[in-house]
Amino acid sequence: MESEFRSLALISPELMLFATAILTLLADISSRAKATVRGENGRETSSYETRPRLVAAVALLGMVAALVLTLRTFSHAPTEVFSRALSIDPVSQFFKTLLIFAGIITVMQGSMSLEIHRTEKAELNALLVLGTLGMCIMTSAVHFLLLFLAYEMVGITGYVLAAFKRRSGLSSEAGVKLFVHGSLTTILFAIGIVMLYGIGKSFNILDIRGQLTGAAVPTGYLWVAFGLIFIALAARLSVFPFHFLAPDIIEGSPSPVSAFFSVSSTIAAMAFALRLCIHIFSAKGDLKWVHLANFEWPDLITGVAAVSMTIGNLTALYQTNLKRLIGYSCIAQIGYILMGVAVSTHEGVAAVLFSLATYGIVTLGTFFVIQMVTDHAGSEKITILRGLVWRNPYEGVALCIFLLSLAGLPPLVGFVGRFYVLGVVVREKLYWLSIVAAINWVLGLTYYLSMIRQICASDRLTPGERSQSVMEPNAVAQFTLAILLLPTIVLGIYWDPLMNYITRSLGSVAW
Amino acid sequence: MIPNILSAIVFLPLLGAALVLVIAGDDGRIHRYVALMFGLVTFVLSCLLVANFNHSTVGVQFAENYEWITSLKISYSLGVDGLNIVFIPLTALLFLLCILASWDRAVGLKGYFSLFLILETAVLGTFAAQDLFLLFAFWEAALLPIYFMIGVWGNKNREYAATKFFLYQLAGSALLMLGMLAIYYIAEPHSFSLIDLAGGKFTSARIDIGGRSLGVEHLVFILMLAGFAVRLPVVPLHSWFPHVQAEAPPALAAVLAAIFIKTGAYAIVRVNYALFPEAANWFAPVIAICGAVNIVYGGICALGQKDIRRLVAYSCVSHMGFVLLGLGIFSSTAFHGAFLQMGSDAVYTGLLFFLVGILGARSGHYDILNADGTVGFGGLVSKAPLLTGFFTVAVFSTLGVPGLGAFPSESLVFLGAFPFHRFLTVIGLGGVFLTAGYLLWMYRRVFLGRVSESSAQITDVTLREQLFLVPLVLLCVFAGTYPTPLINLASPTINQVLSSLNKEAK
Repeated sequence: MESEFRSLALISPELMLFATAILTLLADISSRAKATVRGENGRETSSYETRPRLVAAVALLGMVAALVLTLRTFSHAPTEVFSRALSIDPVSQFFKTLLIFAGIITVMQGSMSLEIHRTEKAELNALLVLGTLGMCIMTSAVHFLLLFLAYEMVGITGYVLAAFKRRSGLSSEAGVKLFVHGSLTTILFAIGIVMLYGIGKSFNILDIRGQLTGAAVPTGYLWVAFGLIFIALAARLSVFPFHFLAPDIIEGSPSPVSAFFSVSSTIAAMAFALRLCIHIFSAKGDLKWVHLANFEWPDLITGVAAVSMTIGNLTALYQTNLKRLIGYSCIAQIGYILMGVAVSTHEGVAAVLFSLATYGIVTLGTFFVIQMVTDHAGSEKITILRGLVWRNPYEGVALCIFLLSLAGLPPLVGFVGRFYVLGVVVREKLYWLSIVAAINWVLGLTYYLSMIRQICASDRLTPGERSQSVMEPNAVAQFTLAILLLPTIVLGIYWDPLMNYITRSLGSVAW
Repeated sequence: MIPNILSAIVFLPLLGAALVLVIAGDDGRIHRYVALMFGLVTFVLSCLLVANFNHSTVGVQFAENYEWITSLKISYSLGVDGLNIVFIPLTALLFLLCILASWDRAVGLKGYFSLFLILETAVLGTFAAQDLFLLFAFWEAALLPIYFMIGVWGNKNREYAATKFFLYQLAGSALLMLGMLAIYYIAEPHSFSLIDLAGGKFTSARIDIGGRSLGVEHLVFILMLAGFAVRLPVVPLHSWFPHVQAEAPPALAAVLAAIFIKTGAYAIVRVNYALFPEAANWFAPVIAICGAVNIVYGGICALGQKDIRRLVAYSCVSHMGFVLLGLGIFSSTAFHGAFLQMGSDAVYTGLLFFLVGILGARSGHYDILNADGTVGFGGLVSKAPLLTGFFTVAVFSTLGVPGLGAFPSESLVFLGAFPFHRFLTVIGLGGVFLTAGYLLWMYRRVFLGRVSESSAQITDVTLREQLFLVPLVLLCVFAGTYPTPLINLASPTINQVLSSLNKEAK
């Protein structure tokens, strides 16, 4: 009993997130006051007066508390709690830190968004918190039933979030699309789990892995099981063969939700992809992970990485919608990061964790500025960026820095991630893959540059237009941007502490 | 002696850039004085560096070595030896003169000067770095300021030129990054330090590609060479250069042609030759051929240009060919010639681009010949005698008239090349005639003949302009008459590189 109680302390971040979601809704309900609004036709209708700031403050405070709790359990020695259903180890806590940080930024974004009506902010915040909770469980779960529930929890909040802009056809379409594909991938995921259960006679990942080591399982059987689960993850990772979903959803959803999908959802899915590839299908070796039962899963991942990168970059080249373009660029970015999984070395996984963290921070920053601009302009065309740096220097320069970091230029953090991933690929002698990646580096730069060219364009703006189109400075927004800018630049120059931390965490997990 | 003088030289401009950005106000009146001050202090420090440089030792001096990223064994390591001692003061001088040349730019002085100073830090860092990763970081850091300066302050077609510049450079960088990673992982123990890696450590390493065993050294050599060649620019990869030179603001064009592209030639020696002596021997004939092709191709293209900026840009491509030709021949004479050519080319090309910028600013166009075949300028000698005088020095320095600019360096290259590659030397000599052709053709149409309408209101150079033109003219004369001090500075290290190269020769 006592040990169970102590285990509760280890899942305190999750408990805190859950409490935050409830408190957010409660704060909303209890602060509502009846008000009468005179409509256009002169009739009085009763409505509610809400306090979105209070609601946002509750959600943010709760998330920050959860972040602090995660950091407190950060260096805890790896343990499995609750009948070996959850694994609390430095790597899962690393993912949780990222997820909760991303949650905080997206809640911040949601509370500033003009796309969301003020009466609906509380629901949005609560759903974002719940989605983050589901993802946190996904990164920790080592029992397939719990994992499946977490996967579904993220899915269901996702359907609602994508369709949150109720008056927009695109948003509803995104919700429906996500729902249809989500149902399909859930089934595939379930079948994959059942196939693994057939080998391991258990839903526990550790038991299944033990069975895989000894039993002579036909490789074809393993391919099918692995493939099904990976396809289910591909939809969340937004990589080939489910890449086509991501741009639609990112374009259709309200901006905070777009950021949530392209960052949080991806991080959680990558955490599980690592568990699937490394934890279930490999055993820890000296430098490399040894693939169990002669099952060469990296072949699949390598192909997926190369195809995703190339498709994402090529398609992004001719996009005119800002959010859609970023959606395609995310496909390419994740494809790039997946290369680190494919090499299945300790260094490779370290590179994945590093570049995932930096990808998260930078993409959040990009969406943050893009939301400010699209909300202000009322359009999502790339041309609305024109002259941004002259109208709003701070936001313009910030967006340039984020885009250049996504493009992978030093001395920004995006470059370091690329450097590590490409490094492990070269080290493992996957030369053709390294050449594909190098070509994609240049391809990607083309469209990032085309955006930067718009941002810095100095013509076509009369002084009158210029003063008219300036966004009002917002202290909270600028502070949030500073929080995101700081690691983008500082980690680009001195990243040793983060990398050392990641290496140490990986060394301590029992994978 | 000032401690960490090299770091001070490299990072003072960056500090200046930060200060320019921080100081309030938009008109730029104070900002340009701040920029000038930082440019001046950097130059003075770099002169101190030369004054304290020990001519007789071969190794790296003023070395600074600090751990930076321990997990990848990347160190912050700077140092000067004979290869880069000339370029550091030269870079500082040219940037200082460029700040003077940009003095009365109207719009956005603040951003312009801060980007300029950032670029100075990047170029100085590229020259001073003794760590491959650090060199790459500075190499890349130069791209962004240039991109933004062309894209914002450039001429009519600026956005296209800026994008083209960046894509070409990044394609080169992608090759460099692959090569750099291969170097790091193949070297045992893994290292990025250029000093540790030097001296043929890769000769025996082999890799299997598609079942065939290939020498790592040769593959990586070509990767790195191709990456550096984009910047040099070597002929099939050169087409960004004339575009950029036509669209960049004049002072930036001068810096690009005079210093920025020299980093490419410098890096070939610093990285390729020092790390892969055997592959260098194997590939040297190709480099020499590339040099001859550059000389002739650049010259022929320059003959056909009607825009004076593009003409000078192609002339620059042609003259970088002399550097390549010299670097492709491992004789002491040719090698020294190549290095001297890099230095003197920086001076007269810088001068030429400054003058072209002044001409363009006065007349509002750059056409030697208009679209209808009439002469764009003409008779400037009577309107602007001083300008004509400066132009004459620049043109004759480029031509390599005895006593001016390119004469000693080109002579050394030809003298050194002749015993090894007679055919290429003769082709290169043909390039000198081409140079005479297009430059004199340009000179006649711009300065001699009847005064055309557009050149009627051109005024002569002002005192401020003389201030930044005269030092370059003096340097042209210095490089043309008495280059011995320059050669003495570089000679010990050059000879050492050469002897390690020739040791691998079969």
